[in-house]
Amino acid sequence: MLRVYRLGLTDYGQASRFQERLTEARIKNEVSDTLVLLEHPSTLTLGREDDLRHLLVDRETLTRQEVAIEATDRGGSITWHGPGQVVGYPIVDLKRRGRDIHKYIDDLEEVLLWVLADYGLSGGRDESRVGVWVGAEKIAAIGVRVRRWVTKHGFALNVNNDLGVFSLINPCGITDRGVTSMARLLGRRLSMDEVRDRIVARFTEVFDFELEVSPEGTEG
Amino acid sequence: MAREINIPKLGMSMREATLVEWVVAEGAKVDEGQVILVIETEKTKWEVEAAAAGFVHILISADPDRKEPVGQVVGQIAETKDELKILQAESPAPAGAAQAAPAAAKAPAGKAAPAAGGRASISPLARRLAEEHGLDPAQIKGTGPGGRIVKEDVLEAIEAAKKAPAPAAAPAAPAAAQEASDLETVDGKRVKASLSLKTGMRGAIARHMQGSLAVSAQLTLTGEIDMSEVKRVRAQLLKKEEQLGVRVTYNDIFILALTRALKNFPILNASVIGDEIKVWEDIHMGVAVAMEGQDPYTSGLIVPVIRHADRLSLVEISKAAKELAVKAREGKILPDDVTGSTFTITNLGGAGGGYGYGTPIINQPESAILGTGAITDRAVVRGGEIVIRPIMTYSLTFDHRVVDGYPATLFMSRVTELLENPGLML
Repeated sequence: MLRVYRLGLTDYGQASRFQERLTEARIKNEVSDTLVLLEHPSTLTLGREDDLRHLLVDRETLTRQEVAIEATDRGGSITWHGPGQVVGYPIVDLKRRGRDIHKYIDDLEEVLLWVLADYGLSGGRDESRVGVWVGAEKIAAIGVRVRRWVTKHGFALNVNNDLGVFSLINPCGITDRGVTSMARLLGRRLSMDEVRDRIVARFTEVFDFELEVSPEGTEG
Repeated sequence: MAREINIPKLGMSMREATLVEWVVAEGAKVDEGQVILVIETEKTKWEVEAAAAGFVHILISADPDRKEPVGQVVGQIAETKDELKILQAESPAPAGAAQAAPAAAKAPAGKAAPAAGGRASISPLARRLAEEHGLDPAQIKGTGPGGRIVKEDVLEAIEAAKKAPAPAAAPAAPAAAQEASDLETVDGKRVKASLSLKTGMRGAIARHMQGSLAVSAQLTLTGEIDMSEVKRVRAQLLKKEEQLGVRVTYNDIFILALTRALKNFPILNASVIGDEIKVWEDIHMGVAVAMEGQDPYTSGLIVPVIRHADRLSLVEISKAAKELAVKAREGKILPDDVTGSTFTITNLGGAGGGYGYGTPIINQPESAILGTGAITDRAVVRGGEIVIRPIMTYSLTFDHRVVDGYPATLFMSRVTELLENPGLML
């Protein structure tokens, strides 16, 4: 059974605390597997301590552009979140899924590849780098943390968001490849709700869930 | 008795991980289940918990730029303070790992010698090699620095294993019966193999094809082309193969004709982007190439792109197509080689299907794809007489959102005209 929360625009720290509570509850088996879908205000998140070396501008520039910086405990390197990007945080117990975190990452990529295919976009994997790519450009980033086989953090899919912000950093520490978005590839802005619907549909399919009706209201 | 802290295997394909951070300092007292270490693999951080209560002894310090193989002993948990002291004396903790530890702890940062009684250190390459050959690393003698098992050690072990007498073969059971009873059964039917529709090339093809049918309005137009003239021209070109430096195929000639016809009917060389049809100035020809599958049951498919094919001569097209096909079959194709086509051709005749038609699926985001059938001798009527002619079938699938039947038919008439009168392409 999968629960889906759609939180809308949510502050990064607030979302982290919500995830933390869900993860704790999932470990104690107090809640079912959960998918949190939301958008963040413009925020750079750091996956490791020395990620600041991938920051290409000074802090003042970030403040001026109203970009927040947050340290996180997920895997992966620096990335950006912001409005127009669908962020998904699956809280999933991998003990029931063969205890294989590589397979989990592979499944997350699979969900996103199918969502792209739903829009006629042909995405791909890069054997050596986690994430989803269209041609040589990255369209979705993945970063996860696992405690007692329960996952948190997850994926960020570029839908309508500004791509200019990525020029402030080397996203994920990658210096030789660009980023893209669904809107850029399709030449039109997409309905965020529709994309989230597709993500929920493909997520339940790939992970073989029965969908539980979304809980009323939002938390956080 | 001290417990080892290993790099855990967190997935079938996991071979190594990075030590991100020791959450506790050298010598720290920990409870069972307490998070002591964070490691990372494939952009996933994992919290390693203490398997027992005790005192942590760090053997390998955290380093985000280095990877340690699965199973590598990175630390120990001593039951008592006394045991901790013994462990620290045996193999000192690396410098910097131990704020709380005695100053005596001094070891070259990073590399720690294999712990007494611990699993041998092994390089990732050697581990992979050993796994592939079903060898247990614990049985291999390491000759690398600090007794680390390196590739050469595994190669030697493989050779040694070959020379060792093979175990006596088990009495041959009736093989077929044995096998049959092992087969998985689904809905009363026995399964020969289970192949992933999600991963690898099969997954990519599945998504691409299903996605294409989902987003566009496709229909297929079919017809025949008399190949008498093309056959004659190709025979001449084959005679000059050495001079041209390339063996021109029928497919190369079709690409030439298509690029010239697309110049006359640009609407077939278009994409739907957003709410607009983009009619492309550039003509980039996608050429579907069948490939060997990843298993004995399926095939693979890849579509390398000949860029600006309309600007190329027949010989240039031929050379470009061959180069890409070789790259594809050797697995050396780059993302740029298979993206950006504006029209695709797929040769359905090569597999020996004889006279026939198909309904190719559009290679998104294009608006048409041409499938060509085999060339077969057919009885046709010319000037009131029944004569035998080499006939090729074609199947043009197009997106009715972009192209109507009338221009599609005119386009194929032009392609037919060019192939039946190759002189027009000069």
